[in-house]
Amino acid sequence: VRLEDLAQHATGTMHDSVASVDTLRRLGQVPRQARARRRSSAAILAIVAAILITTATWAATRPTGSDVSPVDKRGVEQPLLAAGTIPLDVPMAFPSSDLFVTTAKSRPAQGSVAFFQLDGHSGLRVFEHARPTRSDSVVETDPTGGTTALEMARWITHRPFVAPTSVVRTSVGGRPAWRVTATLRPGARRTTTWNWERIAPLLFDVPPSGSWLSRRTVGEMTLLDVPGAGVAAIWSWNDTGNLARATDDDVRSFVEHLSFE
Amino acid sequence: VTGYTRPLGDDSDATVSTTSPALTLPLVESYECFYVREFPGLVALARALTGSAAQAEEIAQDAMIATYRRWNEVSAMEHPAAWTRRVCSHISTSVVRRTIVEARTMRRLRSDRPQEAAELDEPSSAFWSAVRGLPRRQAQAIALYYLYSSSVSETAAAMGCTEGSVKTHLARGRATLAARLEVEEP
Repeated sequence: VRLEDLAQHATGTMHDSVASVDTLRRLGQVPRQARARRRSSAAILAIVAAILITTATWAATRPTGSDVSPVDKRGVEQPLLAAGTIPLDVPMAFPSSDLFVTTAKSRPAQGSVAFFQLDGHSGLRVFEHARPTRSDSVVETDPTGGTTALEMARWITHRPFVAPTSVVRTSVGGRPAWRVTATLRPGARRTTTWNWERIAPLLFDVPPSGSWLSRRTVGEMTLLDVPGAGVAAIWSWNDTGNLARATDDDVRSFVEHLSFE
Repeated sequence: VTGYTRPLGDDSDATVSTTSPALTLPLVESYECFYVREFPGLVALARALTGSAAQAEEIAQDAMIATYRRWNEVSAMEHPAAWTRRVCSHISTSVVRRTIVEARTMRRLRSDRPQEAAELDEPSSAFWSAVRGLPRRQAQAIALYYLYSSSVSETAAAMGCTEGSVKTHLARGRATLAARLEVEEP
């Protein structure tokens, strides 16, 4: 048998097999089906557009680093042109600064205040009643973390996911305080999900008032004992891995001039 | 469904007879004429490439609807049928689009049972089954070449590639088919 002969035979039987197709009936269906396909295409396009817009909106507004953005959801942005006081459990006074803006009034009920540097990737989160958290949960307290500022600072240096660091004595508003830089140890596991990313939690009050490390979030914690407010935590962070940005002299000077009264 | 008309718009229900030779508009074949002439061949092409009689009719219809929606453009082409055959062969070999067609076929089978397509005899069935086992472009080349008794240039137009590519696809496809079917290669 030659291939050409077989092909010709197969072609003939294939054409015979479709001879029963009702061509005119299918022709009559074309306009209606074309309209239906166009509606389907439009619906699919609308769904895709909605998904894209939602994704873009989420990407533009999603929380990063230790807080949301230099402008809170109501658009409140407060340049620190003048010194002020935040009504925490123990009110906290802050100096004027051209380094930070703040959303100070956005979450007063949660006992914390967020300052942001104008780069949008660095900031300070100040919260009272700091509590050491377990590595797998931001709401569970780690009982080994201690109850005083110094104990918590030391505890941070011993966290398995924290790169080697040490505690440095300093002062905040004239009170004794302890400072410790914190970066993620290479290869360390981050066992909690927070703000859409895997994190290694450090200290929290009531979430989102807290501090943590992630793949790119690094920072410096300053802790002090404040009667009536437990341990006050001042977490200076940067979410691009730039530790220098979170620990430079201007930031440290600002921290040292905060005061709890 | 005979005669020549102005190109139909997508939403136009009216056909304007242009059978007068004095008309100054360029004459194009009516969509209806085109459909009646091409549809059975497209069903055969789709069946050859998919192996499914039920899906073949839906795939051919999809190709024809795509043509309908762009009829102004397609009818002005040098080879409108080549464009539609290309669409049909692409749908036939596209897994994603075939899945959509499959779902549509199932819906239609539930509501509108079509006439049973005739079965192929054993040699024909074996031949087309072997064609479907070829690489996608070789299968398209073989199906278009034989089903439409095309020349290489016509097949190239339907595949949207060069004649040289078609010759290569045909040669490789034939060699593979001859080996698999244990027949003599020309």
